[in-house]
Amino acid sequence: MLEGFLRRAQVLFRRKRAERELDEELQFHLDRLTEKHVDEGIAPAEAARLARMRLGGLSGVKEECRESWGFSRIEALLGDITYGLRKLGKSPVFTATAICVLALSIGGATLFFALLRSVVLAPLPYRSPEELVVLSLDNPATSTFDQSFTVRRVLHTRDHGESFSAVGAFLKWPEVMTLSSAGDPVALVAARVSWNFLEILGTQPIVGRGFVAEEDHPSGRSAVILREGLWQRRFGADPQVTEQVLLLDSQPYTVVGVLPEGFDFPFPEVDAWVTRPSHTSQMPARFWPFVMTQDVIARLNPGTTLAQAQSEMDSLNQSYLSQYPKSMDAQPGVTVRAQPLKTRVVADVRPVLWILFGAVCVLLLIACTNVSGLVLTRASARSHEFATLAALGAGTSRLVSRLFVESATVVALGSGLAVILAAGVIRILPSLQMPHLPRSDQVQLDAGVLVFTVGVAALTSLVVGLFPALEVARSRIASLLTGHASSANRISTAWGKRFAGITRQEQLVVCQVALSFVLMFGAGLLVQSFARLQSVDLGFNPERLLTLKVPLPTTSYDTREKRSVFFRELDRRLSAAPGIDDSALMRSIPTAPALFTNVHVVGRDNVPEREEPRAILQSITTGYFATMGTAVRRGRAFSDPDNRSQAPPTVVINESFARHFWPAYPAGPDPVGQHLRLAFDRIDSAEIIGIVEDVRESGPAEPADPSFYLPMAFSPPEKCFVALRTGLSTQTAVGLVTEALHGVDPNLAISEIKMMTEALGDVLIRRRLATGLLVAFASLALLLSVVGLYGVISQLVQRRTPEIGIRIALGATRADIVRMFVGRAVALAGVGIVTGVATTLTLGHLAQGFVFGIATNNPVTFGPVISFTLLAAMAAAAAPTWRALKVAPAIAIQQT
Amino acid sequence: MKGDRLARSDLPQGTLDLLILKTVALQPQHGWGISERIQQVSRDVLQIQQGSLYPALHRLEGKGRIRAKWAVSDNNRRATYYELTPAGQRQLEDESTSWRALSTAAESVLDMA
Repeated sequence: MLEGFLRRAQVLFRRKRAERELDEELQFHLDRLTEKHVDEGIAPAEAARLARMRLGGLSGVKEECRESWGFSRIEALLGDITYGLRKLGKSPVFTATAICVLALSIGGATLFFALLRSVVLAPLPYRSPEELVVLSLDNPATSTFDQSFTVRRVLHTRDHGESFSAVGAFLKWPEVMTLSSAGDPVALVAARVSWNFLEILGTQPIVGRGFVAEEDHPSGRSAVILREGLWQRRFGADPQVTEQVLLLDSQPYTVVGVLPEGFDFPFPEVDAWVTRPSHTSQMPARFWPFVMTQDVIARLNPGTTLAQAQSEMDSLNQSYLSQYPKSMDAQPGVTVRAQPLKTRVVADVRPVLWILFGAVCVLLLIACTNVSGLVLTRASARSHEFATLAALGAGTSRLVSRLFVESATVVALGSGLAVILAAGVIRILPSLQMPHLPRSDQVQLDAGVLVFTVGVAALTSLVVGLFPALEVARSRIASLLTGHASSANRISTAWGKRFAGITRQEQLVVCQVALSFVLMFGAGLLVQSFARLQSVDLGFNPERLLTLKVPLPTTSYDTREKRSVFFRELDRRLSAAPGIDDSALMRSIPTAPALFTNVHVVGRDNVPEREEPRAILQSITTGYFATMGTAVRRGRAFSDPDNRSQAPPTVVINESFARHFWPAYPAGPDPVGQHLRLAFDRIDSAEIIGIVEDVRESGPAEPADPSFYLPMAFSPPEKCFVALRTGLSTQTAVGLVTEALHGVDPNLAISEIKMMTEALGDVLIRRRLATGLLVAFASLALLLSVVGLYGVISQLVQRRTPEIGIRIALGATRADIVRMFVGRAVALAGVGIVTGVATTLTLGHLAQGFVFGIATNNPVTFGPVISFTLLAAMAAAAAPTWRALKVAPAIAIQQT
Repeated sequence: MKGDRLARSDLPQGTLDLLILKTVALQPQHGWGISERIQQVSRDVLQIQQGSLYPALHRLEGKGRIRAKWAVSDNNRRATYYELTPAGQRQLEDESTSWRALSTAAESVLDMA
């Protein structure tokens, strides 16, 4: 092996000498042969001629000898590459087009592979991450509220679960806390976790320590761990930050540690971690022991499988149900689900990334066939060149390899550009602040991604080079026979006859149309879903609606009365502020987590409290419905006298609530005038005085839940949101609110200042991004198909120019000519569309989870996409057809 | 020339290599000498296609079966002489054995009464 290589290398360096020696060797042979003939009595000149004849073609023999030197292959390859580069340089438009098309599509595939790899496929950055599982509850009885573990069930799992080496819990949703010390008040995203969460994950803080058990006890000291970014922004990366006491929601918390950027448990972009996962600010403290708000994080014992843990959880669940039948989370039918932590982390982005990766792969396939078509067209145009090469003795393999090398060179250049493009996008990715894309800062172009790219490039050059090479191999013999440049055209048709008159270029174009149809259909689905989401009736008007949050310290506002007084006073001052059209206070705003509580219709059968139906409790001031723009459907809204604690309790319900409890609504018995028992606020009987339209509290993609509204005085929350509709600038409006707030209590701070349109945009941003990207991919795909079609029809026109001349001379009308070419384009597109429709019908269900409000096989999407494709096909055929129409018969016939 | 067409055109694949190896095994020889030698020894039955001789020599050299060196020929001209390498020796023995076995087998079939 090595020896052979060395010998070849030697030959490589002694190329000239080897050539000379070969010449000498053959000359020696010729001379001896001539001598022999002369000896036989033949005249010297004739003898020399005979000798050469017997030796055969001298150059052929030499070429064969060189081939066995081994060097010839490398040399031929180098030659082909230089030749290919020179050829490509001579047609810059073709080269630039092909390289750009390939760079974009390979770059896209690389980028999305890198995203998939780092975001979805890579293991989580924790110790033995495969051992980490999340436990949650599935309760088929409730559809409105995704319920989870109570404190009791967490303890039960911790004490009895034998599959786990450690068990902890975390509050299912992030909380927003106001940091009101060490500078201006600022809203922080906080996570509530068990004290041992860092031990379970196996992560060390970069400063200080993790929590200790004592900090999880309600009686213990409150502690907080900060994120690196917050620590740097707010505390100048001071290593002495530990043991500082901060005010979070006006409560003192001691800083114990700092966690690094990129630590994304239990959610991305958490600013601060605090203990006591059951202590949600959504609920008054007396509910904390009973509410189902926590998920469990646990580490499997080494060697224990997820399935074993799941089956242990199933039996543990049974023992829990029989041991605590009255517990809130022990309803019949409740099951425990164990899933890997990673599944949970990437659940939201996984489908989007796979859809986009799939789309980009389809785009790549289109690009391949497109460039392949371009190369093929060029190959036909160059059939004369190939015929000449063949006549000069180039073998078929040599011709094919030359074409392959040429297309591989294009692909290599395109791939190089692709990697640069992808690297550029990945570089700016973190600064794009992709909302809710977990681990986006960890995306990188590593060796694995590059291997993928090289593999894709190799496949691409194979696909791109294959068809032209086949075509040349096939046409070579014919070229030799006729020795005429047009032979390649004949070959195309000869081949085409097998495929019912479709040439190879046309087959490629049909593939492109079919594939881009699939992409366009997907994009159409998403666009329509998005349009539907945009036009969903939210039940309120988000325009010019400014919202902000005011948290109340539980120490100074410890009673309902104190809070009620505060709310009434703030409400009064806001109403009096100039320039604010409408304003209201409320427990939660749409897009923020809402509070679900149980309700009971007075007069119906009593059931245990935990089995009572749940609905969203919204505490509001009287201006709420006017400010939000929510319509009253029946009865009346609250007036000022209703919002006094001495007044008889009144409640307003929404239509979902009405339908849920009075299924015949709007017909049947009138809910207005009925009474509700509301255990949460210890109200035995509140009269329903009105019904309002549904407000979509979770954004347009989620259906409205049954909700009821209480006057603020009857259900004063621990924090409130302010909503105001104003034409003033945000800054001015916030100034007015701050002034009003400080008029009531100068120690309070506001946070989470947001326009409602912005907040809604955030809810939809991932969908918007995916839709935008898919539309971009589909547009590119369509553009490529149009270019492909244009090329095919142009070639057709060129080939049939003489025929057109004869036809026109014989009296064919312009319409006939148009029909000939546009008809061809439409026919090809038609075949593509049919294939595309079949594909989408087969694969459509894959996108079902991602569309909103429409079926994946609906005619509303098919119609426009089909017409659009046909229009594009006609547009592609327009220019070549125009050229055909201008053909002068005499010139055309001369060309024959 | 006595050589008939059959012998020339039907030289089986690989046979040329065997003949070359055998010829240079006797003594180092240049291309012309090899061709003459084979023709002579086979009493003109085997005529080597002159065109395929040199590619075959270079191929065998590439595979390391024979080695080329320059020497002065009998008429005082410089010529490339080929000689057998140990690898070539082994191939020659292997192929001679199988060739003999084959021809013996073929002969006994042809000799069937």
